[in-house]
Amino acid sequence: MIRIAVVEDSKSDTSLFKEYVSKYQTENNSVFDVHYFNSGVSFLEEYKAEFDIIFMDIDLPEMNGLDVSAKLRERDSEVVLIFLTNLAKYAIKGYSVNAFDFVAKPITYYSFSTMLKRAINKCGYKIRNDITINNSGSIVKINVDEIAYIEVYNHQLVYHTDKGDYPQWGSLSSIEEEYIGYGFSKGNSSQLINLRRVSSISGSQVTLDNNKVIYLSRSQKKDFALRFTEFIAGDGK
Amino acid sequence: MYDITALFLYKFQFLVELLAAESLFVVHLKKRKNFVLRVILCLLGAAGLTYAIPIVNYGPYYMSLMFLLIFIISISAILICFEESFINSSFCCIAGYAIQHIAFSAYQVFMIATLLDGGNSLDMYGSGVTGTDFVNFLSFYVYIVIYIIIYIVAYVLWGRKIKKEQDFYITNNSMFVVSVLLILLAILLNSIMVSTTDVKKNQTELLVSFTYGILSCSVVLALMFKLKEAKKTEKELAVVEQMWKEDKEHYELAKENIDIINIKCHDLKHQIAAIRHGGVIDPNALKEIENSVMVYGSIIKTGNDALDVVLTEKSLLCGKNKISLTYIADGEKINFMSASNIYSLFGNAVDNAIEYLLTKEEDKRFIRLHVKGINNMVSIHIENYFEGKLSYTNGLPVTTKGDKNYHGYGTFSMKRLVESYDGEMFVKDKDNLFSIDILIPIPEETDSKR
Repeated sequence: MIRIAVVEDSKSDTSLFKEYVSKYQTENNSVFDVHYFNSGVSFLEEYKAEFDIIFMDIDLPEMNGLDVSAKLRERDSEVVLIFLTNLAKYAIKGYSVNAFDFVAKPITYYSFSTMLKRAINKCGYKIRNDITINNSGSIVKINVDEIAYIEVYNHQLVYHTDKGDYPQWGSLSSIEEEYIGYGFSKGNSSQLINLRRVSSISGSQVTLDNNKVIYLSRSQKKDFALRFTEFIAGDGK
Repeated sequence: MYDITALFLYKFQFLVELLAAESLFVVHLKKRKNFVLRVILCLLGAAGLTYAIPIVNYGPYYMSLMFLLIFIISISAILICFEESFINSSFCCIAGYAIQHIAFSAYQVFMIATLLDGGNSLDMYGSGVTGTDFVNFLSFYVYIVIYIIIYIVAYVLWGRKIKKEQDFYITNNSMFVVSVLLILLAILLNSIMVSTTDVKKNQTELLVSFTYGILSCSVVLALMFKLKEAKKTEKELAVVEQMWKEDKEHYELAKENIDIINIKCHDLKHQIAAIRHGGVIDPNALKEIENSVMVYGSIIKTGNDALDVVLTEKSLLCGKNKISLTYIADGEKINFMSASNIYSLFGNAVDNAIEYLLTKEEDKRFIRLHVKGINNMVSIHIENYFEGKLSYTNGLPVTTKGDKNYHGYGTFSMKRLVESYDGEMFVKDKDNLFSIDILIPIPEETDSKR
């Protein structure tokens, strides 16, 4: 179940939000676990990295939403953060706390529902669980973030991770679907690239954040950039 | 001169083959009024004129002249029936003639190679009175099948590309003339060959000649259609360039206006402060003035001047139209793009969205815009509320509305612009959102292009 936190001090805005959530649940036949907080301080006090999506008002008492978000990011870099605000001028800087987007107040149902849909798609890529890899007898736990790319080499799959390269028996086609779900995309017939680790795409050349360069095949060239934008914007799938 | 010889009958067969081939190319063109009546009269007229062309001799030169005359008659018929320029009609007719010649040659290659009718397939050029090669039922069957196949292939490959709603121009007139001459030359050489050889004695020579004719006509056809298509892109580019130029002028104007507002606001704030210190006027009234000035005073600061200008301008426009325009923008990330390009790109996207949203209820009117740096790339995402389903060609939407040109060029121009920075642009509509995603690699020396 998708877990949502709403940090909002205005009672009327909170009740409007509740109304929209229930309307969305009915329309989309889905159920969310929604928690409401009326101050950023109380939200941070109780915070454990357990939410998928956070809606954050900017104009909060004691500590404003931007500062709360900065603190939040120290603990959770993955959660999808969306501002709710009538202070558009502050939200412009939302990129500094890696905000997914913001919804202007007064919130309309259409702007809320389209945003929530994208946010849900976006968190579909998230993965908190570690992946276990059998490294010649011993089990290694790796977070998906730590895998830069997976490659077929000599009939083996090689996981190129920050901890080292791990060869495994298997074929790309057997793991492809699973990893695409984690936010990977095929660069060519033998390499699956972690989209989080892409540093730049220029023509058919993809540079990863560890400076590894991967060349896209002709058939994947267009698709790769498209997958990447969908991964970023949460409008794929 | 008007004896019922094989050639006399063949004149009419040729006219029918030619008109059928030409119709493959003109079928989608704009028809004139009373089209059916025109077609009937043209068919009668063409048949009459063809009848009237005398057969003075059976030599290759006169024969070619005769076929050329019939060809000219067919062009006139096309001009009478369709509302299309002379050059465009000629283009279609020449293409038709080339196809007729390819089909004819293919049929001859088949007959000469198999000698299915005992080597009489070229008798229609003769003065014999035994009639055409249709005496043989099998050869007639082969004739029909070959012509139909080639005509269908020609339509699929080329004919259907000529559509009435498309602008139809020929880029390079001299190349077009060369193409026409090449096709006519192929046909003339062919008649010389045919009239000086005998099917049974010169089987190989004839096969080579006809095969060569098919190849040269196909190549010239392909070339001709390249000329036509190239022009289309050239014309599109010209429109796009014009749009960019207008955007640039518009940008300079908008920037000037906003600069003036900024200066005025700055002055006003100081004046208000001065008055307040004097303590003469009601402070509440002053606060009010200050607030109203703040609207302009707090002009958007994204870190990129051009983005500030376009967002300020569009925000005012959106505010007036009850559209919520929101953005998260790290303007510094696009400092490598030229000011007029930024203005053009964002202005176009937002204008398209505004135009669409004005047709929707107020609570559906929102536009969301992002400019984010992702490692060494900048990602631009622009979305607005959207209902319905668009159809796409080459990844760009084709609007069903009458103003197809404007929208088409809008996204086309944006895509060209993005590609000029080695970026990619994707347009889609999904889950009640119309969205444009742009991904541009940030050049290494960020300030070099500014």
